[in-house]
Amino acid sequence: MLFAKPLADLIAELERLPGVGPKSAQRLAFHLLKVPLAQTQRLADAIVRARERLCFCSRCQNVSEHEVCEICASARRDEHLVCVVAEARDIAAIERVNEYKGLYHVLHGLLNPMDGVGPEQLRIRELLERLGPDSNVTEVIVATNPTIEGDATALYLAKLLKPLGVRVTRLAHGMPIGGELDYADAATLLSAIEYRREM
Amino acid sequence: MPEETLHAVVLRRRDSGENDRSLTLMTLEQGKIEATAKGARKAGSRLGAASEPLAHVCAQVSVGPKRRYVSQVKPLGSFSAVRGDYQRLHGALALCELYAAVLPFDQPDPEAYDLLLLSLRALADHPRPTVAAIWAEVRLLETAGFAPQFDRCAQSSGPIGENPAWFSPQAGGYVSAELAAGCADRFLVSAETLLGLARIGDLEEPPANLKRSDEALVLLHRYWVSVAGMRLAAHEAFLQVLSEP
Repeated sequence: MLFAKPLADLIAELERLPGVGPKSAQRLAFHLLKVPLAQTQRLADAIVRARERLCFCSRCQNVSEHEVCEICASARRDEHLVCVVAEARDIAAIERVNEYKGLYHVLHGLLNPMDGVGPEQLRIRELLERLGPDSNVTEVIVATNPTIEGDATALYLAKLLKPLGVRVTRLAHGMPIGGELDYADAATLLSAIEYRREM
Repeated sequence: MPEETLHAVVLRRRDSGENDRSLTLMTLEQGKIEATAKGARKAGSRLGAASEPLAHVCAQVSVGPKRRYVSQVKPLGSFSAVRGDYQRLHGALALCELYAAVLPFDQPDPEAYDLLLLSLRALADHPRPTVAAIWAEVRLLETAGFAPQFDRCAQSSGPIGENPAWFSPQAGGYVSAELAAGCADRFLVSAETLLGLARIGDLEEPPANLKRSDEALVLLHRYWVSVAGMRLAAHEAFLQVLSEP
């Protein structure tokens, strides 16, 4: 056996994490063996606590400590706007901008026809329930990535939501702020030209 | 590493490593190949947009001892009309999946490459994407050498004599009623569908319309699954999309 069993088990568990290959798993495992026991205990406790205490918000499907997350519970948020994102971490990215004051909805994935991920595997039913007859939502902003999966999801949501009388918009894509035309790749430039706006 | 310039359409991409993408490309010069686009998932990578499925690119590819690596790309098109329409997008992805599933690796096939471009353009422009997709799939069956017998019995060569008629993927197409009993995978389709599929394969471009196109696409799906020997998720999704109101 190359490593003692407890170490081999630790490496095997770390390897299961996304983005961690065999070498990274070994590096992390040996690092954890070097740090004080109290520090590894804190890490282990944090992982268990997060798994035990966190759930999905019953309204927006964001990760939350309570049945309704802080954003959905806040009276300061604009309940006419819902921003649809693929993953809970996308909410953090938009919140960092400090400009958007509406609510969110997390799909927990994107449609991926080539890998067999269909609408029933996403939290789309929950979104439709939020947009029922008593809803105050007037606009749904689809904030999916400009990839094939993001496009497929945005098109599907538009098809589904427009008949409900809700305005459906999508995040713009084109030139990055501070970018130079000379260095932009042709596909981004093409998109920027296609989605240009009146001044 | 030696370099080659390839004209390609991205059929499929998978994430690999921390920032890389593994691509399946249909190229004019080398047929279907696999190549790695290093760093394509990093924000601001010039390979990002060009490594999306349906991207039509001119790529500089380095040939390593085990793998090919995409080093530079010049986009030639992205079929934005396809990407902007739910049905057309699914039709195009289903087509890419078929190319990735049935064509052999590293066998130059300029005819299949040209057909793919023609098919994607047809899917972008044709008023009826289902008809364009059926035409593209039947032409691919012929180009790849998998075309079944639509209008003659695959076993006796006799013409279609009944309606509905039996079709058996394993037997190689239509089978007459007296021979169909021996085909475990047989199913019934209308004779009109089979005759329509036989005719559409002879056309250089998709026709304006095709009767019973929904049934034709289901037949093709069952045949493709038999040819590929695997589940075809994107093709299934395309059928699902067409059946939605």
